[in-house]
Amino acid sequence: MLPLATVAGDEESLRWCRSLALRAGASVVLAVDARDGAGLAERAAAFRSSDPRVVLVVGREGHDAGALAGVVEAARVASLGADDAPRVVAAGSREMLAAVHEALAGLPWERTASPREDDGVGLVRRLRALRGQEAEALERLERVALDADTDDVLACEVDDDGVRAAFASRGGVISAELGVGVGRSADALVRRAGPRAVRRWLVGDAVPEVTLLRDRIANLSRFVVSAPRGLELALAREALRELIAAMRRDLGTPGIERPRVVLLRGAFAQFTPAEAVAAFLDAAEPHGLARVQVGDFDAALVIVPANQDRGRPLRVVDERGERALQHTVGALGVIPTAGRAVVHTERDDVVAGSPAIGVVVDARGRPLAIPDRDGERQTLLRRWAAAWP
Amino acid sequence: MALNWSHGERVASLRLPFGASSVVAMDTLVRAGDIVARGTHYRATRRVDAAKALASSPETVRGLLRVRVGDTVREGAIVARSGQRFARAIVAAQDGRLVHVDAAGGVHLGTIRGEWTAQAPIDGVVQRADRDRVVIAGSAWTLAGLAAFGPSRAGVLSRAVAQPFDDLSPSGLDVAASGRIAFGAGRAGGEALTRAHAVGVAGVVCASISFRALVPIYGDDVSAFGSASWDDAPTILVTRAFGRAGFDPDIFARLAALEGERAAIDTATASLHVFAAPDASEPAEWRDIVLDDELSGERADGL
Repeated sequence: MLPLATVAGDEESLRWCRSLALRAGASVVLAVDARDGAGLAERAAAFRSSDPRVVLVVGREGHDAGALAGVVEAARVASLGADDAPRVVAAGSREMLAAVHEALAGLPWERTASPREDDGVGLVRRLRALRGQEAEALERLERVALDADTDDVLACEVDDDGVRAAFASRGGVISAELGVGVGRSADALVRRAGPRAVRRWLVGDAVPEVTLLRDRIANLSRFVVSAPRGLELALAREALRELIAAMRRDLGTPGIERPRVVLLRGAFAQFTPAEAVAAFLDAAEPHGLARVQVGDFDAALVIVPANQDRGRPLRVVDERGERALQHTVGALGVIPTAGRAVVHTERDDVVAGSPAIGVVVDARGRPLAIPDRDGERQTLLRRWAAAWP
Repeated sequence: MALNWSHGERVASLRLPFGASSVVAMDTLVRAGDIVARGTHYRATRRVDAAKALASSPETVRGLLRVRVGDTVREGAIVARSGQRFARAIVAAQDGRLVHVDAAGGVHLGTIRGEWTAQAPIDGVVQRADRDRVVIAGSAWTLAGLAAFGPSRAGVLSRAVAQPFDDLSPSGLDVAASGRIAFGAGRAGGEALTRAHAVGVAGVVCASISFRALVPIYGDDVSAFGSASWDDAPTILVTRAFGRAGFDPDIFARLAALEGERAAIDTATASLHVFAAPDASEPAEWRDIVLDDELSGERADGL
C-alpha cells in the first residue's frame, strides 16, 4: 500500500482526502488538519515518524493557504537530508498552490486539478499510478463490475493483500481498497478493527481469548500457512465490513446499500457458496433484492425485506412452480430452489437467477445486533449458521 | 521460513527521529551501544515573525541570528538582533531550541520535552552520518529473528535458561543480569520481560512471546512485524513464532559457546549481532517451523 499523508484545512477538503485515499487504495499514515494549532517541530516529528511516500495537500478557494504551506514546510524540514523525500501532490486554488510551492523549496511535487472539478478522478488516477502495479487488482475488479450485464453491481474481493470493492452503476464505477484482509494482511486488520471485532464472528466450543487470537493471527501473517476455516471466514467478514463501512462513511455512494448483483471473488471463491454468501450478508448488511455470484456461479438470490414489507408475501417461481415465501422477522431463512428461479415482491421488484443454494431471506434487521456477551453471541451465531444448508 | 546464523559484513542503517542536534563524525570507529546521535523531542513550537520584528527583509533574517539553528537558547537570551542605536531584538520567552528559520523570515522556537539518543547496533565504521541517518558497517555473527520490539541495545551475551525449551523465569532475574543480553528461553512472559527491563537487562532473545505479554508493554497497536522504537521500553527479539515455541537446540548451543562475548539486538532488522572472531562459531540454519493446526504456536512434536 502507498503510505500517504493527507493535509487539509477545512472540513470539505478533509472529506476529500479520506475519500481519495480510499479510492486510490492508499494507506493513510498521517492525517493533518492544518487548523490544529500544532507547531512546526511537532508536525515535522509526526511526518518523520510516519514516513509517508506521498503527501496529498487539498485546499479550497478562499481558505487560508498559509496554514497549508506551514504544514508542507514541516514535511520538508522532516525530510531534510533524506534520500527518499516524499512527493507532494497538491490540488487547490492558484493562491494555495503558489504558497505551497514556495514552502516546498526543493521537495518533488506536482499539482493536479481540484477534486471538485472532476470528482477526484484525476487525483485518484495519479495516486494509483504512484502505487504502481499494486493498484492493478483494484482496476481489474472495476472492470469485472463494469462488464456485468446489469446496473448496480457490487464486486467484492478479499485476499492476502487486502480487501477491495467496486460498485458499478449507469456506466460509471467507484471502487475502494483497504490493506486489511486474510493471510499476511490479517495483522493490519486486527490493528485497525481490534481483535474483538474478528473474535465476535468465531463460533465453537474453544473460541480463544483476545490476546491468544492475536498470536494466531500474527503467525498467520508471518508464515505462509492456511488459516483454520473459521478464522479465515471471520477475517474475511471483518475486512469486508471495515471496507463497506468506510465506503458508506467517506464515499457516500448512492445505491451501494442496494446492489442488484453481487460478485464475490478472491478468498470468497475458496469458501463454499453458503459460507461466502453468509459472510457477505454479515459484512455488508445489504438491503433489497440481489443475485449473489460466488466466483463464476450463481450462489443465491437474496431478499432483505424492508420494514414496510413485513407481513407482505413474497413469491418464488422455479421449475417446481410458484410458491409463496413466508419469513419470520429477526430470522434468516434459506429456501432451496430448482433450476432457474424468479423472486417477486409485493412491490413488483424482481430478482432472477439459477442459484446453487436457493433463495435467502434475511429478515434479521439492520444494523445487525451482535451481542457482546460470549454466551448470547454464540447462541445467535449458531442459530444463523443452522439456517444454511 | 529459513533463518540463519552466520558471520559476515553487516550494514546497520539508523533512521534518526526528528530533532537531531549532534551526530557522530564520519569514519569514526564505534562499538555497539555507543551513542552515535543525540536529539530533542519538542513539546511545542512558536513561530516569531522575525522579519517583521527586526524590520528587515526575510532574506536577511539568517544573518541577524545570534544562535545557530538547532542550538539551545535560555529564557531571556537574544535570538536575533538588528540595528545599532535603535536596536530591535527577539528574546527567547522560555528555555528551548531554535528549530528552523523559514523562507518568510519566521523563526521557530521549540520548547524541549525530552532528549533522545541513538546507539550503534553494531561494531564498525561510520559510513554516513547526517540529520537523516547514521550508517555503520562492520562484521559480526548474526542471528536473524522473526520480530523485534523496543530500542536497539547492546550488552554481554548471557544464557537465560538451562534448556532451550524453558520459559524465562522472572524469579531468576536480578541485578546481576544487568547489561546482559539474555538468550535461549522458549518463551518470555510479560512479568519476566518487565522484570528483566527493571533490573537492567539490555535485551531478551527468546523463541516466542504471546501478545498477552506484548500488548500491555508495547500497546494495542503492536504489530506482528515488530516495532523498533526510541522509547525507554524493554528490548526483545523473537526468533521463532508467536504464542509458544522452543529455541532451536543447535542455535542454542552455538550461542552458549559464545557466552560472555559482546552482543547487540538490532530491532530495525530483527537480528542479534554477536561480536566474536569469524572462527568462533559455525554457521547454522534454523530447522523449519511447523505450526499447530490452530496456529497458536509451534507444534509440540516439532520441538
